[in-house]
Amino acid sequence: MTNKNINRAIFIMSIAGFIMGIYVLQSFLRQSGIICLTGSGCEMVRKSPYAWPFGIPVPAIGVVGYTILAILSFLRTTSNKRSLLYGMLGMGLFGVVFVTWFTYTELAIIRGICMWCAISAVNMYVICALVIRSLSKKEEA
Amino acid sequence: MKFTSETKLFLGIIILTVGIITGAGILFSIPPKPLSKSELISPHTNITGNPSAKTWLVEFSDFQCPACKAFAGTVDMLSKKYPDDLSVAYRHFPLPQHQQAREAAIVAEAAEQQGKFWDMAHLLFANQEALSDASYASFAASLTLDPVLFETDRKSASIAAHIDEDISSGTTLGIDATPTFYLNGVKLTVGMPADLEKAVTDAVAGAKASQK
Repeated sequence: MTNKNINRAIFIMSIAGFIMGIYVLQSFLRQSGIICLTGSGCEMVRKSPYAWPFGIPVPAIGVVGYTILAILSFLRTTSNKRSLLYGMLGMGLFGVVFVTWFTYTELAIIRGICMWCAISAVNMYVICALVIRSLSKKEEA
Repeated sequence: MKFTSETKLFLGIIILTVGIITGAGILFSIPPKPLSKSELISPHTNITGNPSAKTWLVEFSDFQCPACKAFAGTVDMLSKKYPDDLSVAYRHFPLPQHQQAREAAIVAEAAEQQGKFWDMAHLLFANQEALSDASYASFAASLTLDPVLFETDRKSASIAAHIDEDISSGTTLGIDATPTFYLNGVKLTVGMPADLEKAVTDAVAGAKASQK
């Protein structure tokens, strides 16, 4: 897989994560129902105070994270600067730590799994793995 | 900064994504058209308060649902606070996972045959954790209902049909949780009883102001 294709994959996954985040965020803010294939898990998570760290809804953090990743991968189409990759790595690692903490919180404390959070967690792990893979490869001309 | 075809493609995807989300946001922010009374209230629906009040609240509820119990006190308080300015309609939406919910709805309607729907509803919510055939009989006794008539009405096909009609109506409206409230025909998004109190209080105040 070339760096170009890796960047494309990161971009598409970031856009997908952004759209998911916006959907879940509007449900948090409007207190409206949410499509959930994991039973009442999404509602349990939405209503839990753990889903509002420091008063910030968890999906808002996801939206910001995916936006940064999408912008950085977009900028990578205009420049080969390695600092962009390091920025993506920083964001990806933060994302991995965050989704790991939140998945643990869902399982151990809230005792409910939100389908969208689970998809987003996998999405973030894959993005981070792709960024690391991209870092390990030499830049193409 | 060099603008390659890849850059333009990514930019196009970003613009398209933002456009779709903005469009969806505008679409969902358009307030829904209020439903009419005839769409929300059937001829057999139990109503308390002033039936011709300008402010009308419809609740789809389940006697075994804890959230409905949490809201019941506020609904009761509001109907007492605004006896002339508010009507409250109760519609049955017993959820399948609540084993006693449908029977409790039947019991309330059986009590209504002797004019005691709201009293029975109050007892059912108050004793939500202990609903059973024995408790229904004791509720009926405490309300001085005719026990024979009460038991006969509990088996009434027309009462069962009324409840089925309420469930069917709620399902058609897309209700999937209880309690669901409609205020003046508009579905409310209320997380806590205080939200309901505020919405109804504002609506009553608005109706009074428009009369002046």
